Amino acid sequence: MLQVQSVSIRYGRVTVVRDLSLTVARGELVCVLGQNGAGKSSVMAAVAGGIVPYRGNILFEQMPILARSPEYIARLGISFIPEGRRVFPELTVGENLLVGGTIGRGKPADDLNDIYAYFPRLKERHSAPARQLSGGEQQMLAIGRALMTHPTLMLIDEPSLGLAPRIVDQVYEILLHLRNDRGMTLLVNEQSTTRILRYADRIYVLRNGSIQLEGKTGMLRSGDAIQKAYFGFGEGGASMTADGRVA
Amino acid sequence: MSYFVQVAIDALSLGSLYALAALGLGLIFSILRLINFAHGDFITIGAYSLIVPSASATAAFFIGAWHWYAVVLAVCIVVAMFALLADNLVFRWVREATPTTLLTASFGVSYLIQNSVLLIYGARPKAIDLWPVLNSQLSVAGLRIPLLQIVTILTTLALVTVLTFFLKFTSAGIQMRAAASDFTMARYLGVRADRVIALAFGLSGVLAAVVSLLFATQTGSLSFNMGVPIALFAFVATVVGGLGSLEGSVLGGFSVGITMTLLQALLPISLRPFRDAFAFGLILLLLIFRPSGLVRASALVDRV
Repeated sequence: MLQVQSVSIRYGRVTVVRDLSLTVARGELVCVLGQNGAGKSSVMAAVAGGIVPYRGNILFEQMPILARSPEYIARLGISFIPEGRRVFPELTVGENLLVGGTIGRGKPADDLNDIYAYFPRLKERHSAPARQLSGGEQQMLAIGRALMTHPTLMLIDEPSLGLAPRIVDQVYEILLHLRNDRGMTLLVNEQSTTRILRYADRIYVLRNGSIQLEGKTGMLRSGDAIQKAYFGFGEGGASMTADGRVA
Repeated sequence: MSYFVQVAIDALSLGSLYALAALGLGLIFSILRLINFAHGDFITIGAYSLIVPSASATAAFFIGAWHWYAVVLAVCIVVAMFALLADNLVFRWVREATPTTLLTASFGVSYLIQNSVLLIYGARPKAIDLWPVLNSQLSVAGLRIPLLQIVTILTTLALVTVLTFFLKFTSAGIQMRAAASDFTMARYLGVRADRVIALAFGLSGVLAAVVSLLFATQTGSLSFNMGVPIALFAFVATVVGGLGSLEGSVLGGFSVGITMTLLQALLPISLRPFRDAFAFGLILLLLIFRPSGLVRASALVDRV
């Protein structure tokens, strides 16, 4: 469904992503794992049209989408939830959702009801400005707003950022449900390995702008290989075991 | 008492003019972070579109001779077209540039328009008599109120109401507010950048057109830089109100207009020539205590 081919991205003279390739097949939940600054966000922004890589190619449904505008890519069915959720703070919950209905693939009123049936909490806050929402509610709003565009592929940059563990579990249950019941394909960036090994089908481990490791989650459960790829060394400091499974 | 009412109406009508101009500036700024100094020249274009292009000293009406609603419609269309043209020929090519570059570009557009007007219409101010009936006075309970002031205030109220309704309840309006809050995020959700920007320039042009009609009727004369002082005060108004906030632009416009009129009325005669100095002194004080203006625009703080 999505093919990122040998993409390199630089800001000014600093290269942040080097010759990176990854693929996402229809119906998969793929996770890109990496520390802050590894280049995860840049790759996602490039797919969504927010950044133009200086080398490489990006295909969606076999069609090149490199350097197309964000609104064009959104219309193809790729919805991007950037880091920090980026809800429109002064707009109400309902208005935030309606912005997602811009593309007009469905009737906005019907879509709104659909989202509210899915997230009853958002319905209660329909008329509240988005800035008044809690972090978890904002994440739900961001997901709901993305769903309003009727995507087939969702890109989510660090959905767990700044959320309480209990809320993070909720968010992942939602993502899993979207994948299993709605046939959504998902690409998720994460820093922490704690949950992702439980939910993702496949993972890529990214460090210093290139992929260190990739594979099906089941085969990587041992954790040691992940840790090595993630930190760039084997044993790791005792304080750095983000994953409870790592001995 | 009657003096007070008179001053109040003066203040509101001057404030209305500034509020409309500030709203035109604010619409563009909130979306593009462009302080459009050519806005004053859009106002000039609106006024000059009323007369036949010629360098002769006497002005002959062209659009100005039509029925009043045809005049309003035509001038709105002309100015909106020029605003869109300015975007297409200049601003769209510096979309990604820094605010300083954008500002400089708008100065360029401003000088281009002023010199084009000089070239086509000549340097001498031209007298026009648009809608003389509006310059008659209305006698209400011993007060003599210029009809134009009432029309100015009511027009502003109507436009602000319509614009609020548009921004709040239409899909295009909600998209504009989203774009003003976080342009890139709005685009990720499928909001078309070129459409939102065109809409902003079009609306800004319509607001400039209305200001030009009210102002030309009031002063009865045209000059190649007639819009500049209005745009300058409107810019001050957007800063006072809070850059990036449309409510702030309206509020700032009225604040500046009311302050000016009150100073004019209350200062001792010997100090009145320095009215603007007092006004800007007050504005400086306000900005020292509230650097982000009367209404703080969250978008400006959150983004960067």
